[in-house]
Amino acid sequence: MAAAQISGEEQEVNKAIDALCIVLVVASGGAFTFGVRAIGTGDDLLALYWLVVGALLLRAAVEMLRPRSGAK
Amino acid sequence: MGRELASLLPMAEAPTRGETRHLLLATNVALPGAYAWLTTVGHPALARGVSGWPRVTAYGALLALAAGALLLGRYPRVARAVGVIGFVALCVMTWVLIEPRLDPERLDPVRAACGAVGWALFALGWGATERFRPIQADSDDDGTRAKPLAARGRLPRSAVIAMGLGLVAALAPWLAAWQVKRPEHALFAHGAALAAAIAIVIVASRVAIEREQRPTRPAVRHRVRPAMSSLSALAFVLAAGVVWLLLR
Repeated sequence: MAAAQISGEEQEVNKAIDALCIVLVVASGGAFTFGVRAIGTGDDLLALYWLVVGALLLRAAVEMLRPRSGAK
Repeated sequence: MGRELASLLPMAEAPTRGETRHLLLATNVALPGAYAWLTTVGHPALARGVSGWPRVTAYGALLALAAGALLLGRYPRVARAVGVIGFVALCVMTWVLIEPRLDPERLDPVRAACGAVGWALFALGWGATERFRPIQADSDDDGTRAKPLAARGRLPRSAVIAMGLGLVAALAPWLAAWQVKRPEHALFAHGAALAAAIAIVIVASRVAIEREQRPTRPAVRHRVRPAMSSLSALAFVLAAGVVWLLLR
């Protein structure tokens, strides 16, 4: 059970990762906003780019928040 | 009226009684309804060049709203029928009669957003009256409804902050969608913004709640490694974006 015994330093890093998750969520909001604005200007490629960035930011946040059980 | 009052549930958390309570309830449904009516029905129906029938139905809707609010204390079911179904039906009739004026190109985004908020508050106002419905068969033996289940714990302040930031982040694309002027693009923008807002709220709620629910913190490597694929893809896409920006 590696998860049960972690050092104090690792706990601090865990908190930093939690904060990073929040930053990623907020950043995804910004990316989606840029994407929606690009839709309005008719720049389809730019819109797609920002929407993909937003989706990746959200996915990274979820994966850091909830590690898969098989992760080694 | 006294018998009807006696059949209404006591509002344990509110010190108000009798007429004061009814006045509060009536205000609770009348004010949001009047606001929704003014922004989405009254304004277009009472504009210049609108024929008589839309004005009749618009004023009828306002009367239905007032009647529903006034009847709420004495005849709750009738009040609900008149104040909700009658009011909404007459509003819909007004919109149908003034359909050309509701063209998306003519709609003011700010007024439309205010109207949406007004209708949401109207629904919440009528929903709040549910607490005062007559006692039903599923009530406890002593004539009161079962107490709500108590929460097992309280969320820490950091969870509230995380959720608040998530809500703000979800609101941003939604507001940006209202800035899109061209109708076809606006529809797509609203769809994309809504999907984005839902995804952000879901992830934000997980970030806010799940990290507090873990009995033991997983090792850092168990958190970072699974995310490496997404982070790598993100870094690649961002780098490609910078290159694209430089070459453009």
